[in-house]
Amino acid sequence: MIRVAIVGHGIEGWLCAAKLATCVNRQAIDITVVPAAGAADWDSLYCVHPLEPADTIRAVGISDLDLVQQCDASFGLGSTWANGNLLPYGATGTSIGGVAFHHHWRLHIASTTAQEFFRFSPGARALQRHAFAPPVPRNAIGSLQHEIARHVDPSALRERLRRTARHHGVCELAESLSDRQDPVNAGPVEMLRLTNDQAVRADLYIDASGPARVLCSRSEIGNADTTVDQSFEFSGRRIKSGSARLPAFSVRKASSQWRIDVPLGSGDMQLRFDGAADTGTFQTGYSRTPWCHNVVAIGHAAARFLPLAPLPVRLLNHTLTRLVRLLPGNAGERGEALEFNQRFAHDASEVSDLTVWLRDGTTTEGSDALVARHQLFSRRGWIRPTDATVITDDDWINAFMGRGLLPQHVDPMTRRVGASEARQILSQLDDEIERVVSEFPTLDRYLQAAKAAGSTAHAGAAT
Amino acid sequence: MTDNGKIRIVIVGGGTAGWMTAAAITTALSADRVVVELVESEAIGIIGVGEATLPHLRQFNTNLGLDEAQFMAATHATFKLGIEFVDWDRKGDRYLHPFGAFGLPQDGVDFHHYWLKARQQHDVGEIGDYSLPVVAARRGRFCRPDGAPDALASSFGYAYHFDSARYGQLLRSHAEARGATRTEGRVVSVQRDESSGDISAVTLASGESVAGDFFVDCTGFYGLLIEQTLATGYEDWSDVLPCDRAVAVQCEDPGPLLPYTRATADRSGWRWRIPLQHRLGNGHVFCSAFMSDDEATSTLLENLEGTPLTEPRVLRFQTGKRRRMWHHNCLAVGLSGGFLEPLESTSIYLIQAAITQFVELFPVGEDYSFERDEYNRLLDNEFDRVRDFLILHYHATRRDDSVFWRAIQATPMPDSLQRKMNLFRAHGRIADYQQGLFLAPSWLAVYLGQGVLPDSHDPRIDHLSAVDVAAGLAGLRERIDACSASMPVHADYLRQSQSQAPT
Repeated sequence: MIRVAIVGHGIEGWLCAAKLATCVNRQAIDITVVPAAGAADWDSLYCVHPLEPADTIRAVGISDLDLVQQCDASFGLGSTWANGNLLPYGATGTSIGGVAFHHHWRLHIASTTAQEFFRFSPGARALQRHAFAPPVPRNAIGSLQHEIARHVDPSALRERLRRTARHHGVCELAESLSDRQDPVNAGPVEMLRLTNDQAVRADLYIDASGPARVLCSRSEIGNADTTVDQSFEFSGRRIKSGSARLPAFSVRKASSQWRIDVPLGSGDMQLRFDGAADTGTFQTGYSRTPWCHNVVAIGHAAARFLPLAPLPVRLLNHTLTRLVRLLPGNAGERGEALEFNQRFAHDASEVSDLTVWLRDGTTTEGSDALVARHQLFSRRGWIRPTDATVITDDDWINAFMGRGLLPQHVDPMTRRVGASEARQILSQLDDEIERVVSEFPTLDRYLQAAKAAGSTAHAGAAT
Repeated sequence: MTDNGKIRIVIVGGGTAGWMTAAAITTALSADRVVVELVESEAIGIIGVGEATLPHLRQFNTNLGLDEAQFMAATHATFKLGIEFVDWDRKGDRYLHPFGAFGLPQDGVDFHHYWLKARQQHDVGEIGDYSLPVVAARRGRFCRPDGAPDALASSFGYAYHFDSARYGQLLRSHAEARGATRTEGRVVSVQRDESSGDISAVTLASGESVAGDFFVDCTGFYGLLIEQTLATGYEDWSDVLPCDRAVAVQCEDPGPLLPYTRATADRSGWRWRIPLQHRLGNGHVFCSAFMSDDEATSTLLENLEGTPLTEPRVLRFQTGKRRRMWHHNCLAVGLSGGFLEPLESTSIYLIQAAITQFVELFPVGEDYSFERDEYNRLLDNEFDRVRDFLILHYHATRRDDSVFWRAIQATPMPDSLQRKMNLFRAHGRIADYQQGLFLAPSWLAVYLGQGVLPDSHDPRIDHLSAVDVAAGLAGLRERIDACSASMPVHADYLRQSQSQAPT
């Protein structure tokens, strides 16, 4: 049996605990969550959860209906930006003749407006109508299926995850981590000391304490190579909803300050990255060695990015999936750590690049990889293949097109499909998207129905 | 550029690489945009790399619009389900690297972990018993994958063995029909633009000058353009892959017709056996430091299964790759770009990858430095990952019965491979990557086939009873057994396929 101590009782800690507890048999693992001061203060950064294959919430058995019922959830199809642009989730259009859709669109649609591109995104079209439906086979258009995210109240989600984890045998300590830890000279952590001086020993320690990185920084591991590029004062709070409920979160920028409003079932979550701090400083960047000795940093202890798209949570989901896959049989196995760190570096650098692009719309402050990616897309619509798994080709295409970057040239294979045939396919796709999306209810109606169905189910269960 | 603004591409060297390039470019790029001219000399021999392929070639042929039955008839092709490795771990051992996975993951845990757990207490057979292409290949059976994507009968891919010279001829017809022109002649000099250093033209022995905007070097190991002219440099990998010679011969095939390639480890290298419709292709890859050409030839001839049809021919090579596959306005395709011994049938795949990436990154303006850098990054990655996979075959072995095997065991392996092996040895985990030719099932086949057994399995299945796991495995084994038994004999299936070829 492997003993795991998770330091941090915020969403990150409980997501990790629930994931491990549901993926690994109870006889094979012993999980303890150790509270860490301030760990839950950053939970508001986890109020948008894309429904993706690596999604942890659904993997641990929490349904969307549960989220509506218990976490004041609403749903999103993408984001809206101050300039009126949309950035939908998921693919836009479908490949034609083996060539990605955006090449055909560029060649055959006489438009210089990137937002017209999203006419071929079912999610974007629904978003514009304030409509919503879950991605199920009956509203797929061939291989084109819109993607969604759940907008949740972070405190409620934390509690829901906590109950799930506890139900699966996770132990929760009342005492939190003491400020007085035994010194460690860049070696494995032997034990944790709590405020009541009790010792907690484990085979694997997971730092889910948020940007404070209490475990990594105390043991002087995992932070040597951290990259830092920007610093913000962050605050996250619930506010009353100021406008009609949209199936999207909004992103606004004034000067160098960012504001993100996430509509929930009732009210909004407002995230501000500016000078009005009541939580703390948020330094963006990521660690190159999140797994060092027997400590694994996850979430904001491992990487911090502006959540202009729900990329940090996707990185967390993929990190947890990889952690489960590489879970050591005994502490600190070097092969597993190397593999984990290498894969994390691939993913984190991609998340960093995409965030910089969304933030700046230029590559001035980007990495060499982002510059190359930008050049190759702007010249020829080429999406650079990498080993990263968190960011998809569709993410990059939408981000580039959504930021108004239209390729100057298209894949030469595009011309293998005749112009009239291609235009006919595009026209049919346009019609089909319209037909499907026109049947989506408004988000309000969908949520009402979901709540009613939940009540019925609950009543049925009660009787 | 030509007078009408088209890009003129000059391919120097025919053979498999040259004609694959010509066929792909003339098919993918509009004739309004490019002019393709291939220069070759009948006086210069063709090495004709690889008669054994990987499943990716099917997509290449599909993109060209080649009909499979016509292709198979024209190239005397047979079907291939994988590669059998004989005597690699120890003499007498054998395993098959199939074009397909082993079993199916369950509860997020890869199949082989269940196999590893069950075998601790039960006789559950080899991992290959849980792969349909392995079991079918052992029985000499074949049919194309069929059924739903998740059905057992569609759980594999297939490739071909074919006559590469005939493939070159087929592609020549294809390319010429789409506007490629062929110029007979030997290149005697190469001209470069003084300011840019780019190649501007090649001059033939006849005095004719062939000018171009872009040049593709398919001149083989010599690298007339990429090395002799542009001095690009070569990354030598002979310290980790020391075999440097091969001797090849064709012979009659006494049958039965096997649906797989065979690679048999030998005293100072290894021998290949490739079954075509009308003959066997045979070869012996060896290290000249430990074996002479004559010895290698004798060993090959002694092990032939049928009467030789050709004289043995010795080839010399140096494993490695060009430092830049795309340098200036020149692309190195095939042996001019690099060479990795054909242990895993990668030669034609690497040509295909070079061409496919070039078509996708075909210059769209005069400055194509980003395209060139991207191309070189992708091709370097392909070569590096294939290299590690090939080295694995030499290091995952207990053979020490010759100087060659003892010497190769003493050579260091790349850190990237060491890391992968350490990861597998601990808990049977396979390093994960998205880009590259050989993915998890291939690594697993060689690890387990060559005796690299992990110390443990995924701890997530610790709690399961070995008895229950073994019972589950038995069910899958029976299904695979029944499915393979229902497949036709390879030769019969091939005959039936040929009868359906369009005339």
